[in-house]
Parts: sequence; structure tokens; C-alpha cells
Amino acid sequence: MASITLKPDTNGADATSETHKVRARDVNVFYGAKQALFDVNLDISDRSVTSFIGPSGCGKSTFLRCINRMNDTIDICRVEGDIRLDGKDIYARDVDPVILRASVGMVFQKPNPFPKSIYDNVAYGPRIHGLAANAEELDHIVETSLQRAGLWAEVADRLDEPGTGLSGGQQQRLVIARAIAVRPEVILMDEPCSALDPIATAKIEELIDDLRNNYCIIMVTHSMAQAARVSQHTAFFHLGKLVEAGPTGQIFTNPCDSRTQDYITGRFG
Amino acid sequence: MTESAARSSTKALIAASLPRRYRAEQRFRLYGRAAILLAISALGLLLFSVGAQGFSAFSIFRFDLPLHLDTKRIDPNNTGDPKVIAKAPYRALIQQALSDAFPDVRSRRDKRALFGLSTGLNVVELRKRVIKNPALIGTDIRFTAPISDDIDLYLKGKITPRRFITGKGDLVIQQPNPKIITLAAAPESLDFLIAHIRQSRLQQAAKLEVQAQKLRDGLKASNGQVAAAQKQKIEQLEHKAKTIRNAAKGQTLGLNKNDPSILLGFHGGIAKAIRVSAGTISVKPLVRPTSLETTQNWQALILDLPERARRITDQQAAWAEMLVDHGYAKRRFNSIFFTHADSREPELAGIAGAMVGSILTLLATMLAAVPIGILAAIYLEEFAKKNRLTDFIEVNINNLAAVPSIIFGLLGLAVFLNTFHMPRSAPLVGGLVLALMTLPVIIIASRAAIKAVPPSIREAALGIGASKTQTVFDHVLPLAAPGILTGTIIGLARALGETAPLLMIGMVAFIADIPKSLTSPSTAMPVQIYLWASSAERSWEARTAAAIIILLLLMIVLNLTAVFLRHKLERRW
Repeated sequence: MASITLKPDTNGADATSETHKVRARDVNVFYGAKQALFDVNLDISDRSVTSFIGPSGCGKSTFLRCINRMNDTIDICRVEGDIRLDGKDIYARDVDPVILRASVGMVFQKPNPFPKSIYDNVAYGPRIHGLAANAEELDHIVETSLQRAGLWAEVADRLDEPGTGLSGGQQQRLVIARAIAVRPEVILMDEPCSALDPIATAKIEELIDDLRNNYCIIMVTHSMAQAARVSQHTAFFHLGKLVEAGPTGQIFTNPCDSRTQDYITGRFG
Repeated sequence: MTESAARSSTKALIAASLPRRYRAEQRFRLYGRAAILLAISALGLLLFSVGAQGFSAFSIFRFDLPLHLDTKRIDPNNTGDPKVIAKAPYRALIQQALSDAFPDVRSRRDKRALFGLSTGLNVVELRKRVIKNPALIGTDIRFTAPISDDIDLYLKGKITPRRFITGKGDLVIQQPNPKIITLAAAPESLDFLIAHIRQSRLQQAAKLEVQAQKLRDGLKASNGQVAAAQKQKIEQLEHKAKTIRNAAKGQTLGLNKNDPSILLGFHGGIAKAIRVSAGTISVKPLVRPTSLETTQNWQALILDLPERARRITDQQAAWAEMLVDHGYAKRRFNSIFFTHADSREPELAGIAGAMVGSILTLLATMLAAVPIGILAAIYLEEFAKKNRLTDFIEVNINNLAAVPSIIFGLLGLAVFLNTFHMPRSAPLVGGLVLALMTLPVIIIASRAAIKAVPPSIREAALGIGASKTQTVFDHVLPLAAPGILTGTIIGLARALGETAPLLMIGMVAFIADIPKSLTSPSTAMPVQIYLWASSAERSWEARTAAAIIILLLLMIVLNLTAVFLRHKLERRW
């Protein structure tokens, strides 16, 4: 399949290769003998939101987890091909997944705060990476991260309480704050709102829209409406193949591939 | 059929089957309750029987005798030299104290029996006490050693019931013969004693008759010579029963060796009844009364078990009664049981040695098994690749958990003692053997606990760039800790109660000292229980049960700790 370059939004400037934060070429992923991804080629722009859509089991989460090498933790999983972050091969021998994951943060489908206090949840990343020289700096990181995640006002007076005691939406924002705290460049979100009610979802979407100004956000979602609302670029996966990718408006209004058309209009999936 | 008809028939079918389903549920509940009731009653029975047997071992009769530490006999030249003091004849001093308490004991044989009330080992304690505090020499002290275990049992009523009957009316001394005293008392006050002896004789006769009847029933099956011999035996038994029945009829009853003992107490003395009739009673003094005046203040003591069937004589019983009467023996809390190690004399035996041995052993087990077990579990669960080798290891660990514990004992014998020449009977070796036995249990429990930690926590930590080790030790382990702790403590509790492997490495020896280090010879509580349970003397029975109570308490404490820790760690989040 030919390379599909995501063009920036119609209202944005013209695309240049420098704005591509992530470049994937001929990515094949195998779980044991079973191939989950077939020759995926995709460029992802910085400072924008890219949505992966597609029916369940189509490989969108698998591809997402390739970007921070989370698939390494699965014994039987094997990744082939070339994925570059800022032009550097993330699967190269000299790349430590620990460093990679510090710059490519991840938010999961189910909010998974640590069973520790709200403060410790956010402070854990900076602590293990030694990002703060002293307690004040750490406090500052925690505060700004929580502010960016839009949670500060709600939890400022109870930072000592367990993070697991928050509501689902708050937990998900806490998890986002935790990811932001290690100053990542890319944030991967694996169906971040699928376990949340509509109000919490709206808040997260708002937050994602804010974060877009500073981060490259890649999001897997089952909600086409969400993809349309939040993302500037959309990639459609089907049966392990990247069918079509492009500006969100174009995918939703004028898809090139009939499968995309069928999926978006709800004929299958 | 229309849709609505189909629906109503479905409803009818469900309604018809409902009672059966409810009955099944009710039956199941009933079974469950019955099972729980059975388990509780079995536990209750166990605790009750152990408690009832062991309770008496927590108290003991101790002497409280005045004892003069004669300067002339201990340190005649007033040297104050510990060597001189150590060599003093303490045995003689103790014997002197006993003689002073019973001045009328004259014959050598009686004296030896009297001195037997205090075990020879009490000399050691007394000597220690004097050497420690030489200022005591020349003063009067109280001799507080435990009384001989048979006397202790007697005084606790464990050898034969002691029934006291207060005498009514005057007791008149008629013939103050030194050997046999004849006393006169109101007939109604002696009637009870006569009736009691008669009843006891009739019971004896009845027992013999039952025995004869049993033989007669068996006679039909046998023939020839055997039958003839048995017939003879039956005749003998029946004759004996008849004689006893006749003996129960007389007006004057001469007490024989098969009758219960009757002891009369009056004027600070005790005498044993040898003949009773309606108005008079002849007695043999065991402890001479101080006066032969007529008295209203007398009592009878009935010991149902005949003298020849019990371990203590009437004479010893009389001494024991006098000791208690005069305040020379008192029932006290049995502190010896908690401060002493094992001893050949039950009254000086304690579980302190075994308890310290068990604690040291458990310590060695813990130090060896807990870190290795938990780290092995972490490695296998979090780091090791899943392949044939790890599968093989897992199967083997599961198998090891089911290996009989004595096999581990044999392994310890072969490896630790024979190959590495470690000391025999040492808590260190015992601990290592028990560690081998506990290791699989800890590994399995820890792996289960680690596996139960949701993978989302691992992903969360990895997702922000924590290394594998950081993920495991910062997040997985704290979450798995309650489960790991519970499994570990249950494994250790099992090790605490284990006997078989310790037998193989020599921790079954008789050890009279409290162990001082991990390598000093020692025993453990379950082994001590095993040793005492196989000892012959009656006093060990109560001590065995008491040791079981202590071991059970220790187990309960351990398990409660597990529950408490689990609760505390789990509630934190």
C-alpha cells in the first residue's frame, strides 16, 4: 500500500515533512503466528489530534501500542517495520523503551490511577525520572500538571486522598495529569472516554482540545462523533490494514474507500 | 398456538418447577449449616477435651516449708567461699525440713518415703539460691520447691476422688494402743462409712459376676480341655463373688486391700480405718494425733480407689493432707511450666525450652524462606519468559508443596548434617529444613497474589516510563502484599506445627536447657508434645495437653496476625 500522508486540516498551513511527529513505514505486527497488522504506513502531525477508528479487533490499539513500544511487554508480540519519532527509529537498538515511554505518554481505556494519593500519582513519574530537584519543584510540577489536566480546582484541597477515590472522569483526568507530568511529546489515548458518562466525556474532549496546542495526541475511539468532534486527522483501520487516512473532514464527508464509507455510515462494525 | 397461549404455558411450566427449585435451594442451605455445625462441634470438642485435660497443669502444689540453712552444715568456718557453699549437703537440709514437719516418722523405710515427697533435683535449685545469696546462710527460709508429681496429682483429685465427711457427735478414744487405736462414735455417724464399704463390695461382686457370665457365654463355642479350664475359672470367679457378697453382710467389717481407704482425721493426726462396726472403729495411725482426748471435731476422708491400685500409699496421702492442712503445701500458678526446659521429673518440666526452640527455628525458617520465596515468585511471575523450562519449574514447585514433610527431614539429614556437617538438633538446621518445606507454599501463594494484581497497574507504571523493576517493586508488590503475607504466615504456621522433619535431624532429643543460639541443641513445641505424650507417668498427660494449649494459642496468634495485617494493608486503598 502506498504511503498515506496526513495533510493538516484544511484551515491549517501546508504540510511539510518536519511537522510529522510520527512516521510509520511497513509496520507488521504478529501475535505468535497470527498477524495483527499488515503493512501500515502512516504519518502523524505534531500539535494536532489524530483519531484511529475502525471496528473491534481491527488493529488500531495494536498500532497505538507500537508507538510507545508497550507491545514489548507481551511475550508473543513481534513488531516489524519502521516507526520513527522525530525522524529517529524507536525500535533501534540504542533506544531504551523507558526513555521512549517518558516522551510518549499513554492514557488507557479504563482509568488506572495508582492506589496511592492524588499527589503521589502525579509525582511518581517525575520522581523516578528525577525531574524535580527538590520538594518545591515537585509540588510545582504536580500543580501545573493537574492544572493542565483541568483537575486542580477539584482536588487542590485533597491531594492526600487516594486517587482511586475520585470519580471515573476525574480519575481519567488524573491519569492524563500523570502522563503530562513527565513532559511527554506525544500522548497516546486508548479509548479514553469509553468508560465515562457523557458529561465526563465532554470534559475530557475539551481537555484534549486544549492539549492539542502543546502535544501530538493520538487517540483510539469507537465513537465516530467523538473523532469528528475532537480530531483534525482520522485514520480508518479494518482487518489489520490501514484503509484510509486523511483530514477528519474529508474522511467523514468524502471518503475514498467504500469500506470507510460503509463503516462511517454504520453499515458494518 | 398463539403467542399469548405459548407465553402462559411457559409461565405455568416455570411455576410448576419453582417449588422443586426452592426445595433444592433449601436442602443445600441445610447441608451447609449441618457441615458448619459439625465442624464447629468437632472443634469445640477438641478444645474442650484439651482444655479440660491441660487446665490442671497450669497450677501446681508447692512446698512452703520452713527450712533452716544451718551455718554449721553449709559453711562451718564462715569462709563465704562459693566452692564450699556448693558442696554443702542440701539434700540433708531438705530432708531435715521434712522430718521437722513430721517428727513421728522414725523407721528408715518411712523416712525414705517421706523424703520422696521432694524430688532430688530440688537440691539444685536450693544450692543455686544459696550460692546466689550467701547472706541466707544461718537464717530460716521457706522451701518452695514443687511437690512430687504423684502427690500433686493426688491433691488435685486426679488419682482418686477425695471425699471428706464431717464427723457427727463425740469421737471417744477407748484403747490408745500405739499400733491400733479403738475409737467409739455414735452409730449413725459411722453408718455412712459402713454403707459405703458394703456398696463398694457389692459392686466388686457384681463385676466378678459379670465377668463370669461373659465367660459362661463364651463356653458354648469352646470344647474339651479349654472348656474344662474355663469352667474352673468361672467357678472360681463365682465363688469369689459369693465370698465378697457374704463379707458385705457382716455387722463388723474388716477393711481389706480391695476396699476403699477410709482415713480419719482428728487432733492434728490422720489414722487409717481397719475395722468398722456400728459403734466402734479401729484405726492405725499414719500421722500421730497430738492428743487422745474425746473430740467432736473429726472428719473422715474416703478414697475410693483401693490403695494397691494407685501410685500413692495411704501414708503418702496422709502426709499430703497434713502438708496442706498445716499450710506447708500450697496450690500456686505453675510458673515452672513457663520458665523451665524439659526435665525427667514432671513437676520440674516446662515448655520454655521448646518454645524458645520453636521461635528460633521459626526465625531461621522465616529468614531463609520468606525472601527467597517472594523473590522467586516475583521473578517467575513478572520477569521469567513463559517457556518449557518455566513450565517445568512451576510443575515441580507445585509438586514440592505436596511432598510429605518427613522427606524434607531426610533431605536435611543427608544434606545439612551429613554433607555440610552442621550441628545436630540445632534450630538453624531445623529452620532450614522447614524453610525448604515452606518455600513452595510461599512461592505459590505469592505468585497467586502477584497474578491477582490488575495488569492495568503495570501498564500505568510502564506507560509513564517506569522500568520493569520499578513497576514491580513500586506498584505490584505493595498491592500483592496482603496476599503474600497471608500465604507466608499460613506457611509459617504450618512449619511451626511440623514434627516429622525435625525428628530426622535430631530435634527429638531430651534437652534440659533452654537453647541460647541458633546452633545450640534444642527441641520444638510439637516435638516436645510428642515426647511428653509418649511418657508413661500420669502427670505428663496434663502437661502434654497444656503444651498443646500453648501451641494452639501460638497458632491462633499467628493467624490473627495474618488476618490483622491483611485487613490493615487492604484497607489502605
